[in-house]
Amino acid sequence: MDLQTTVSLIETLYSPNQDYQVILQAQKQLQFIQKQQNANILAHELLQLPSQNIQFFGALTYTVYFTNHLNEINLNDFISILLDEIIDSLKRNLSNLIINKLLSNLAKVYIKSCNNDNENNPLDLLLKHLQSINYNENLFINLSLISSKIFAEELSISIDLIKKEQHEIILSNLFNKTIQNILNSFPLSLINKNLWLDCLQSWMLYITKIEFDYSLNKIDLNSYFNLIINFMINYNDIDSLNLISEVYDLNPSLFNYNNKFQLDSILFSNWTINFIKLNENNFENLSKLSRFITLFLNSDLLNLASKIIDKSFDYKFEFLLNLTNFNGNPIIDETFSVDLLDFWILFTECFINDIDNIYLLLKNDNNKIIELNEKSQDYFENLSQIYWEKCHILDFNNNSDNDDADDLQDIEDQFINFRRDISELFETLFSISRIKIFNNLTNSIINNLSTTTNLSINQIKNIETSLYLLTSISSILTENGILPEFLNDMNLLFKSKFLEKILLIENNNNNENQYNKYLIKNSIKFLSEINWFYENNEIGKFYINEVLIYLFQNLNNNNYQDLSSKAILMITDSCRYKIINLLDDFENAAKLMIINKFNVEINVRSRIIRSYANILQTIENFELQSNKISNFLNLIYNESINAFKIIELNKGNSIILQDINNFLYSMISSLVGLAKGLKLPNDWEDYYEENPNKVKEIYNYWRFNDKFKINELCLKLILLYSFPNEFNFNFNFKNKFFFEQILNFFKCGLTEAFPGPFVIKEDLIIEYILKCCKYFQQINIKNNNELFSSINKIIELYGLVINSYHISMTISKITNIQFDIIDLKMDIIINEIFFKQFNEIMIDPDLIQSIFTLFSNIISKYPNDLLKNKEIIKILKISIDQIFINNQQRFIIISISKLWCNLIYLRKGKIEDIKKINEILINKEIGQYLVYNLMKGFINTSRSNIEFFIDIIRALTSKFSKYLSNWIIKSFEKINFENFNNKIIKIEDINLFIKQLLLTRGNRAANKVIQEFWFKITGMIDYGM
Amino acid sequence: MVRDLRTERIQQERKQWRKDHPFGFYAKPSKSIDGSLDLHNWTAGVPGKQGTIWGNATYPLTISFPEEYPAKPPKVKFPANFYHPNVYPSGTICLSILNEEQDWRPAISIKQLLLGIQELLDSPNPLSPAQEPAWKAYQKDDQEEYQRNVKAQAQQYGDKN
Repeated sequence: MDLQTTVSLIETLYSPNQDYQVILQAQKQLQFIQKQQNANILAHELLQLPSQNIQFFGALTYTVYFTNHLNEINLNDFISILLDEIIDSLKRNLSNLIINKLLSNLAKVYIKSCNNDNENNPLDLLLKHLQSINYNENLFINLSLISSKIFAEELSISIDLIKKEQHEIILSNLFNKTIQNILNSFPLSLINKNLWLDCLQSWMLYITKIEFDYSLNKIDLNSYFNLIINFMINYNDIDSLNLISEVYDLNPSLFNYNNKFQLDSILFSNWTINFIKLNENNFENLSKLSRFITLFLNSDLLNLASKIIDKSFDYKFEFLLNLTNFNGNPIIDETFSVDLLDFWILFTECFINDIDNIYLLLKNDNNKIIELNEKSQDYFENLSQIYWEKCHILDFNNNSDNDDADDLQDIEDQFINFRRDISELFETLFSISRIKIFNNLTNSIINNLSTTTNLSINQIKNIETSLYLLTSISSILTENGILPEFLNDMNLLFKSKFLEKILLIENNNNNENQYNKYLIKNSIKFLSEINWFYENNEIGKFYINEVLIYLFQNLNNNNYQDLSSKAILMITDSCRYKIINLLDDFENAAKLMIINKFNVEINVRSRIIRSYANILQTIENFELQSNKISNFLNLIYNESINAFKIIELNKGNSIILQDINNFLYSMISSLVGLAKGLKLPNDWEDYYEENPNKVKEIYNYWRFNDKFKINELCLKLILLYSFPNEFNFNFNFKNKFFFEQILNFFKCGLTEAFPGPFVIKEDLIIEYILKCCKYFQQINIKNNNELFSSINKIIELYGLVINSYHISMTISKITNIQFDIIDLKMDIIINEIFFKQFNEIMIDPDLIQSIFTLFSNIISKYPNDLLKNKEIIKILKISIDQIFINNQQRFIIISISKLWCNLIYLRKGKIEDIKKINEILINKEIGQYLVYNLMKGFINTSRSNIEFFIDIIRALTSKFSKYLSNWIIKSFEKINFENFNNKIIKIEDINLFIKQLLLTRGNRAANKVIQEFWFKITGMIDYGM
Repeated sequence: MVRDLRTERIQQERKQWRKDHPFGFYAKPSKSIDGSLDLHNWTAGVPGKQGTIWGNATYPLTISFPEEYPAKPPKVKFPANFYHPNVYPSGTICLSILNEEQDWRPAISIKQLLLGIQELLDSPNPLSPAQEPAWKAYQKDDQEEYQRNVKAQAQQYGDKN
């Protein structure tokens, strides 16, 4: 291609507003040209042309030519060509962009050619030549520094491609000979500052990388660092500070003792104060200073910690504390406290984590250790005071004049994070000085609240801050860590009536200011974190009522409902026996939650009802308990009926309908809340062991004597929610979320060991299941996801019934408590659930999984009941088909794998069951059918599913080894014949697999054999699964 | 003065974290009953990405460093029953960079791990299901149930609670 056409293509490439396709075409053609054998000639010609774009493309062409012809060209000759080009370009005053590109080419070629320390490096040659022709001095200095920087950058880019020996040569041949000469000849000055710092920074980065990656001896850059330090001192230069910070960040060991000492001296001196004054309005520069101080101090924390007793260091610690206590609001006015917090957290942690090492630095001298502890406590006391102040909530609204909403949000987010870090510091300080910190915080609340008149904003902020920090340290307190002093402080705090006073602040202050909100929220959080105070000691118990009153008062405010209800539930759950006296209050509160139809959040309502149930559960008098439950259930029932009634009246109003729907949902959730709260709290075996007589009483009452018939009331409610049309409400049963709650309700009873108010007998639940099945069959199910989900729940529910009945029989054997023998109606249920809805079930993976999980569950508990089902062969064949059809569906494969493992091992089976399964597998040839599908699924499934295939193969190996070999051979004959994946499995591989598999007898070693076979036949790579 | 490799590395990670950690995240050694730091077990928090259904909440995690750390990855767990397709019912996270057999490398930092977990929150891997409820709901076309549950969980761990 001729030069003119090439130039035209380059111009097309760089011209603005070109069609994308045109650019792409030009680019393609140019790339082709650049890769040609004579592209170097073209590069030179392009560089001679006047256009800057063309010249740059010329320099770029040299890069492409070099990369593509590396093995064909003489590198020394190519270096000479590039040197000539650079010198020519300099003489012609070409743009820096082009010269830099040529210099980068030169560096690239040098890196490839540098194998000998004795040869002159091209940079040296270039500079010497320029000197020899008396090139302009200023330009010469600039070029020297820029080219040095470019060489270091190219080295860093190619660092992994260069061998260690070559790096050594580069350091000796280039850095020692040329770069140092440049840095020394043209020292850092105001004129060349940026170029000089850039150059040193690039070399520092390269040297640090090779020091880490190749363990090369340290290169001493300290003479240059010293220049920078002095430059920073003399000119308060921020760029120098940046570079020093960067070195400290990357590799502080690059600094020698003298430089560190000098930095240490100036950082803790007037220089820093002057710097701060000079940059008073420059937030960014001040932040850079504080971050550097943090980096500097973090590099030698242990040593610094041991110097606390050194009097000559007193001023340094004072200085640091003063800097931390810099005037103004954190984030908004100053960043010293924010940046130095990282240092303080690590520094204080040394006194926990590394205290032995600090003592070692003090040579374990007892006197010194005592002094260290005393002085550190003083400093930390001071530090805690500073950060307590800095932790005060900021006035975000006051800044709204200047800042937009996003900025305010940003400041608030930053402050929340800063606070969280302060709480981390306080957790550490608390670990060092437990009593003092706890006492300071509780005292501050008491003192600030002692004023009888209206509290100032500042006092409110003080209290809020102390509560925030107390919450944080309370969260790490456990029962074992409680000291009598804490209990005493808490006692004083509660005696001061702080909760009452906080409520007064809220009530007196009509305008809802943000401080009050934070104060109330943190007071609630605090009350949620002091379970250790209420639970196991008499003092705490005394204040539970007061706490609950406070929480209930805040429950009335939408802002605090969620937090308060969580706290109430937590307290009633753990302290239920201590608040029996509050039963009536809780009953009223719970009833209010029901009556207050639309004003309460669903979760809040449910938590309060559950809290009531928690206390109700502790009542010894069952009749009273039952009476209260029945009242409550009647209330739920009546309110539900009322809500159902108004649906019809509001059919056109979607908002009201949504409210009613939410209310009904929360009613059914309330039933669940009540049932959960009234569950027996412990493991049934422990409970029975500790309360055998109580269990008998429970059994007798709820089994025979419950005159309020709670079970019936519950079922009435369940039927109302399941089939409202039977109660003459035109409301279809299709809400899967309702049904989820119904399942949760049954689950509460089915997981209970002994009869109880919400333990519905299994035969009644079975009737309910059958009723639901019949209902589903009347509805066109195909387009109704809601119903799919409900069928799923019904299948799950029957599984729970099976489990519950099985456990009841076990309990009966252990405790001699008689439970009714019931008919599980398995054949009917299977027919109703499975066969009558077969087509629907088999199109939904969730339903397939659920049904086979149910069968697997039945086999593990009542194998005979399923094996004697007249459709058992059909069921098993369906499951086998799924192994292949759904071999990628993990959860289906898991359920079928469990089913078949249970069937093959038949751990609960009697002899007749074992005979039956043998007959099915061997005589009815289901074994052959199983292995064929199993193998077909196995070779097609994904890596993460093979473990479930392995389980079945192992079970077969263990129990049917006599037949397995033949089954596998025949299966692969068929699979190979079908040639499903266009892949034939070699007979020798199959035989080897069978031989190895049978040798394992199905033990753990079989896993590896089966896995290896899978890798072999699928061609996948074994990553060491 | 000699610390084992695990502790040494954790100390470095601790310093590195304090020096540079992404905004809104936290990670710190747990405090033992006696007040000492348990360097081998950390608590951490990962904020959900803003603008996603995971936003406005910080999700708590525990990080346990095994003896072989950093040769082996730390075990990172959300609270039990955390709702996410790639989180096991125990709370253990199924993520390749946390798996020794997959993408774990000793050079991976705590910061990278937690950023990876943040990414996973809103970009679950449907090929690595670890729990049924969230995985199934996530696979559904409308994802109504999935979004509802994720939002409820976000409310539970809300930043401004």
